Amino acid sequence: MLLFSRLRGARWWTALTVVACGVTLFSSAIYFDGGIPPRFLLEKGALARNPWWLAAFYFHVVGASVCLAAGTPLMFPAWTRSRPLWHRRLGYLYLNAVLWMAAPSGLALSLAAKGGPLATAGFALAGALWWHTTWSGYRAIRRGDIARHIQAMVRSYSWALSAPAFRAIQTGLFLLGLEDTHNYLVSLWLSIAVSVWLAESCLYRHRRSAVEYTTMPSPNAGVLS
Amino acid sequence: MNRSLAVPAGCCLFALIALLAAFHRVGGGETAVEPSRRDRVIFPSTRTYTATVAPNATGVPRLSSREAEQVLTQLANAYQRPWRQWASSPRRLYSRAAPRPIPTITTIVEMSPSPIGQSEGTLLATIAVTTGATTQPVPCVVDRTTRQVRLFAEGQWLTEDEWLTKAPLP
Repeated sequence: MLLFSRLRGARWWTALTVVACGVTLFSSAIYFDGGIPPRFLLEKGALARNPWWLAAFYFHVVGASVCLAAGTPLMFPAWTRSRPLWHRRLGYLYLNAVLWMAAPSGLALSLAAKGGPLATAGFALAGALWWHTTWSGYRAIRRGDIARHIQAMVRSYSWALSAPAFRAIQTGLFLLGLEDTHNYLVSLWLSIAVSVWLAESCLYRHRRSAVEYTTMPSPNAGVLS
Repeated sequence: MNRSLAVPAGCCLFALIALLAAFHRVGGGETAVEPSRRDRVIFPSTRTYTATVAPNATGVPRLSSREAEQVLTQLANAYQRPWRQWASSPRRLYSRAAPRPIPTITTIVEMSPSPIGQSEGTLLATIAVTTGATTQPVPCVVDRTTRQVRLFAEGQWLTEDEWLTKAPLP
């Protein structure tokens, strides 16, 4: 995976990330089972009976799931190089899922986030930056700036990964015995830090490749080697 | 914004409005995330149970000790229902919901032994609520004629509805 290229243990990190994304998608299915409401909705109390909140919540779950499913294959340079048409199709799907579903609904949900103002700030920051980086990636590819497109989409996908990262961190901290309220806040901000680190460290490792790429643009490629 | 983004944006907006309308319809009906606690308490009518005690001067059959125990048992079950709903709600360890285990909740109804606490008009009892390792006794007084129950909790006397609304959640 592009995010972990030139990193020690890249294959293991890639496998872990793909599995984490799959488990996140699987765990989201409980919101569509019917029957007894899942615990996350019970925790919300009266808010989970508000049609506006429910609509934003399900819009976010569906949109974010599409982002994870469509965005993950795009982070494999060999695959996207050999399938430029699928690169464009999945990219288009990912772009619209972020811009019009996952990020805006995430921003709306952040207003009533569990964990109070600190959680609201964290989710709002993540949602806003996710939208901005995705939009920047779109604008860059529209003007033919491949390097900027890659940089922006790496950052965008890193923000998408904050969801599985959050869950993994929360599970780990729970097993270490951290109390729930603190666990939620710490996990949220750690997942933001992980997203930022993933993107910026990847771009830093490829900074020389990016410079070479801008001087020799290729119409079919779209990823760093 | 060109058409390549405007069309999906419009579709998403339409989908959101449709979803909102659907949840409005559902919310206006009988579906609720949390069931109404009070609606689940069904108290026995005078036709359900055979009066085992002679009626009072107005001719209304009075609750027997056994019937009062059944009334309190149903009340206690309604009290536990939201807690048990939480405990049985589906969740994944790998999710945003708090992964902590929910302690069990049980209730035991104890009627005051005759002739202590029993009178023509009222019956005394206790509902012992145990959550995890903690047990809290809740004294109760049952009106044998009106079947109303008063419970002493949180330092005050409460009606059944008040007691149910003050019930803690996990």
